[in-house]
Amino acid sequence: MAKGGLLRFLAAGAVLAALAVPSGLAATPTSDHARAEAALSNIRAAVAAIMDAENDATNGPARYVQAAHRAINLLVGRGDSAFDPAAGDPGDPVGAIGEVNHLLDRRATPPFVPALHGVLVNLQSAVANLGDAAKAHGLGAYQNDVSQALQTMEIAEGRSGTFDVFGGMRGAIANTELGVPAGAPTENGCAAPHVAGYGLWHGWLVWHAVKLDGGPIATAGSSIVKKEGSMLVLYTPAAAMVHHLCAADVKHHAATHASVQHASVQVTKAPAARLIRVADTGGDGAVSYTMAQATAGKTVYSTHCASCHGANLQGVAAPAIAGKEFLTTAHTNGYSVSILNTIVTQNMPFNDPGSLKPGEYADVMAYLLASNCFPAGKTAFPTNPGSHFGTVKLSIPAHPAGTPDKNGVCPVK
Amino acid sequence: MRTDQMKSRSGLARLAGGVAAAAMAVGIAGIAHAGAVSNTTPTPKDYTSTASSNSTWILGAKNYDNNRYVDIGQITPANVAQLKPVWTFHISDNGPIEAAPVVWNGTAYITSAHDHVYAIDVKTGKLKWQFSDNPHVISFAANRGVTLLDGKVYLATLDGHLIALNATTGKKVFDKVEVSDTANSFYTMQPLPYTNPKTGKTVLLLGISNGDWGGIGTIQAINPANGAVEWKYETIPGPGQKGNKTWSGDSWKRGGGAVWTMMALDPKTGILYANAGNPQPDFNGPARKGSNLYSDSLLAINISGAKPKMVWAHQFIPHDTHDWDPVMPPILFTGKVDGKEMPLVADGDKAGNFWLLNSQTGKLVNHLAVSMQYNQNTEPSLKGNVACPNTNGGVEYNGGSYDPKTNMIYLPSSNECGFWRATKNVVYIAGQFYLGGAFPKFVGPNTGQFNAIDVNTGVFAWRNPSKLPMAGGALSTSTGLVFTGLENGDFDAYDATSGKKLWSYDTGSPIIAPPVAFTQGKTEYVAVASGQAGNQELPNMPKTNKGTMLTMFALSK
Repeated sequence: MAKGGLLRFLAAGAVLAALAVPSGLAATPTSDHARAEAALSNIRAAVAAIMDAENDATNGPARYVQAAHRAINLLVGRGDSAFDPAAGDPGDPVGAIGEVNHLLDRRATPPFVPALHGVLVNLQSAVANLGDAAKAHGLGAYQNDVSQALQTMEIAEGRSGTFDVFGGMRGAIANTELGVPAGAPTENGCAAPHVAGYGLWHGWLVWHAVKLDGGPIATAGSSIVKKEGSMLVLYTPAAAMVHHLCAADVKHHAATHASVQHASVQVTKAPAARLIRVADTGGDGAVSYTMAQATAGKTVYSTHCASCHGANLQGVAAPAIAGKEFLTTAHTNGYSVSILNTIVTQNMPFNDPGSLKPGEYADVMAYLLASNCFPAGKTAFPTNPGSHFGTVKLSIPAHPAGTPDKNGVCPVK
Repeated sequence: MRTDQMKSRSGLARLAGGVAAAAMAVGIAGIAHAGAVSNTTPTPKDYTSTASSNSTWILGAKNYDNNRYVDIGQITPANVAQLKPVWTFHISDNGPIEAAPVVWNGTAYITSAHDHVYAIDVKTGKLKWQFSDNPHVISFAANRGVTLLDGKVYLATLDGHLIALNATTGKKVFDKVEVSDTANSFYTMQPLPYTNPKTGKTVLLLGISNGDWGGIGTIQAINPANGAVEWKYETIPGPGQKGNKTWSGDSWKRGGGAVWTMMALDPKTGILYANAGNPQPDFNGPARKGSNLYSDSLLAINISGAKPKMVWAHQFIPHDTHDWDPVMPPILFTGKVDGKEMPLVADGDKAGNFWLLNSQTGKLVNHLAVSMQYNQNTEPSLKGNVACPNTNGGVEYNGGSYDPKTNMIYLPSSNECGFWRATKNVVYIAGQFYLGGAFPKFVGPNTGQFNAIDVNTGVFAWRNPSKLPMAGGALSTSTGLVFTGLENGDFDAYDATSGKKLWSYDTGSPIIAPPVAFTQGKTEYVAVASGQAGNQELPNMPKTNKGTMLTMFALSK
């Protein structure tokens, strides 16, 4: 039965994409859901504007330039200085960026915020590339700029796979309250659905339940579809993670049921902390450095860092960067080796950031790791770490490599 | 004076008599200030009369007006050359020292970089007690002074605590976390006591230093009895508030505008004058399109009611992309401009601007460039570009002094240029800089000057060049002297009218702390702290450093 449901869902998908996304929105949307859909629609229309020009058989640059301006208009809206009236007003006065800005502009930080920040940055980047494209000399240069814009717009739109649609606008709509149309019935997402509607948990969209009446199903993405009773339940990719947290919530309730009020406060605070922990379990990027690097790093440190951070890394004008206090704070703030490396290479030395050679930065990092009692290895700390490097979180090592002094610093010779 | 002695006696009686006597004292006096057990600490009344008292120095810049002007009689231009150190107290806590000592009743309280408090006997220079906090440092270790009240010493710390110490013993009375986000919020300022004349209620006003670390500007009013936050005021407007639309998207959420330097206060009207700092991310403008209110602004806030209310705001630099916040302690005064008396407030920013506003309306009266300015309208690019001053330049956090006799503002300033670079992406990492770029690299030369600005004409009366940047604040006296400390370690005295250097003493360590002057018994003292330069550190500073110290000067007999 579940299989049948899934088939129906997939078959409906093609129709849905067209149904759910009107090609031009004349009126300013008001609900969060409508804004999210408008933003997605604008992004898609911007991509389409570029692709239409690409697929056209035209002579001369005018058609391409027009397409770039049209795409910009869709992203920025008519109030922005980058808006070009000559390329036509697509209708939404604020554009995709404006809609995303409206969604972000609130005191609370619901789960869709990180995704939308990504959307925003990518759209701003796309506007810059499209602006370059509109001014490009020659088709080669145009295509180069437009390719970059398409890439960032696609990230902003978000991708869908068989089991997930994480990322971008589509990911936010699929996995959060942004997928719930204004006025639609909602229930606690940790529980099983009772009526047709949406299951929400602290802003996460867990499921979407529809009646088995054969009509089309409006959804932006599901990972699992199940037939439950008289309903077809579409579980979002976020469902598995949320269910994990629901279980923790139940345990928490059981443990603290004596103080109901206190527990309810705790529960609302819980998601952020727990999500970090969930994310942590995925990090296994090993970190290594050699003792030779650490020794060399000690010299670099004493020349460029010690005047502010102290000869023994204890902190003078600037904070301590080794030992118990440093590692405790690093743990609280969730620092990884990679974050530490970013801070050191991009912001330090404070009065002359980026002035050391890549090898010197790697040596300093090795010295910091050694001083914080992390074990040395045979692989050197890299001068240009990749994105999966150093996801190991910093905290006081359970088995220090070396003998920590009273401040928890392992001396490097 | 007589009132003080009477209070002192009644205080002692209450101490001896215990609770019953205390209750009686309250009953009789009706207005007795809870906890004012003796004159070990000033009363709210002492705070409102600091301008006319030359025997104390209890607010960082002398008084609520922040004018650092003191009425003395003995030390004059004629004899200042005889000024000699009486004692030098060596401060064990290593780090930059930015505080003026707080002086009350024969004791000088000096605070050091890592929130150590040293209570020192003014006459002998001997340590009475010491309190060493050593909190977690988020970024810059600094403390700009303690506040004495209700028999306690209030210390606001680098990890967002307010600590109350017994003023006689230095022992902890309470210690409370006051900030909501300990990852990026800390204190560096002296708590500002304010007693509402209508209600008689006293609060300690504190701004949170979170302005380059992804917070938003916050002023708190804290109950000194228990550390409870009575109210807080945010400088960056949220959704629905006026000015919110000057931020693109939700960039206001980490918009900066931190209030981290000394505030001025008119205790009669309850108008607080607070500088809101630079917007964030500091160097990445596209991430926060708009004018970014109320960053880089002087705010006049009425705090006499139940809730704080903005009276006016004056933004100096809309959409700043160089960390050029106004950091000078605003100076409130009535001065003559073009021959006409006006209520004024003077301010200065790190972009090298001196600003003079009408203190009642916030309208601009005068603007003067006091540092070298170059390429200020270009935002930092990914490739990078040069602009002047850099983030240490212009007018720094110690500001200057106003002398009502000469109608002049004495203001040290810096010429430093920087090479800025923005980054494409801005990532918030708890407890780290939220810059969208990096702090600028120095582009030499790094120099400074000591400026005398004639308020009447709006231009310089005199300017003395310095081989190093200047950030030591200033002190003016009724006898026609101006003091300032230099980053080469010299402590100098000048003729207030001509700018002629009359005296100099080499303390041996850079001075980035403001000087003070007061009378104890029959002796007039001048004091200044020196030590490490901290984030004012420069390649062209002297390499030798004699450590961190407080030096007390008096005329040699």
